[in-house]
Amino acid sequence: MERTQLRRQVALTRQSLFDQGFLDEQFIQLEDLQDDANPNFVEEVVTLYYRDSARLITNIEKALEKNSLDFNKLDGFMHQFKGSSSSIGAKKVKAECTLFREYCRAGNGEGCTRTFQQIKKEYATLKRKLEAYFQVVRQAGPAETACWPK
Amino acid sequence: MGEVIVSSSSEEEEGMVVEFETEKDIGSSEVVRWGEFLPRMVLSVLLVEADDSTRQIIAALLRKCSYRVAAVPDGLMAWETLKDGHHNIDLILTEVELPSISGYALLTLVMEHDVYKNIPVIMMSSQDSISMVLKCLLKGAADFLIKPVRKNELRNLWQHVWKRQTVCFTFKLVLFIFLGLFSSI
Repeated sequence: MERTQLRRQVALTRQSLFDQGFLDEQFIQLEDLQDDANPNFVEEVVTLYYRDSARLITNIEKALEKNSLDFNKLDGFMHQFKGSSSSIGAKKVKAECTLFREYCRAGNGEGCTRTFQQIKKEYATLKRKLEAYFQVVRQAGPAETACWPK
Repeated sequence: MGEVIVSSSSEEEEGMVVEFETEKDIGSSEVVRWGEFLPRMVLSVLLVEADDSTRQIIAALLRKCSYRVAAVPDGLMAWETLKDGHHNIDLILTEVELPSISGYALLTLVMEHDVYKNIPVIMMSSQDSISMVLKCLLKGAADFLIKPVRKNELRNLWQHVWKRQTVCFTFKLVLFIFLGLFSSI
């Protein structure tokens, strides 16, 4: 049955996101919150994250363009962005955020700029992968999201 | 995002029922269900969290634990929600870092208010700064949670409300037993 194949694809795609280190167990907590009353919870929260964090990214970008960097301000933005990314289980993004904050504390502008490029890359990659994942989930049908092995 | 979102899950009508069972030993093995004397509590939590996705997640976790949730994105809105009295807040769960007024400032407002000071305030943060934790606890916060918050930590929040209400109840219970024994002489 095509349904079975789609379900297998969903499971494989999902597993690879974890295996390749894109997601951590926080994502599983999101999945746990998905139920009949909230059948699209995971996708909704992830969409909310990408919408909200786009603003933070722009703010950080602007702050990095200044001649003299305000490391406190940058650290503040990054703290918010890191918290938000952690809430959806964005493992690689979160790791780069931690590195960015280290550079902020050290007052290393070049390190910050370099790390920020990396953050944007990981952020975009995860977005692409999650969009592809949700597309397969939708194709496989609603029953798919109900029972993940714990 | 300037709205208060109040929601409760469908299963939540049961509420949090606290039940005790014990045997009344007056010549019979009758079981007294003390639970009947305790109020059925459906707790309303005021959740204050600026990050949209985090707020959505914590609100859903709270609802899964059968709490009613009023979720707001900043401290001033939280204070307004408290004051408008529509939600009968039993417990406040707030992030330390907030736009407009900080979580600590909100805590201060609550603690300095004659009526609201009895509402337990639980702080949360992703930073485990000892000085911030101490500062909040000294100001009167009932607890301080480090993010990411787990469902079992949220499930136990009712105990903070229960402790406050129960002191009064325990006194009544002791008085009841005492008078009961006294009147049987």
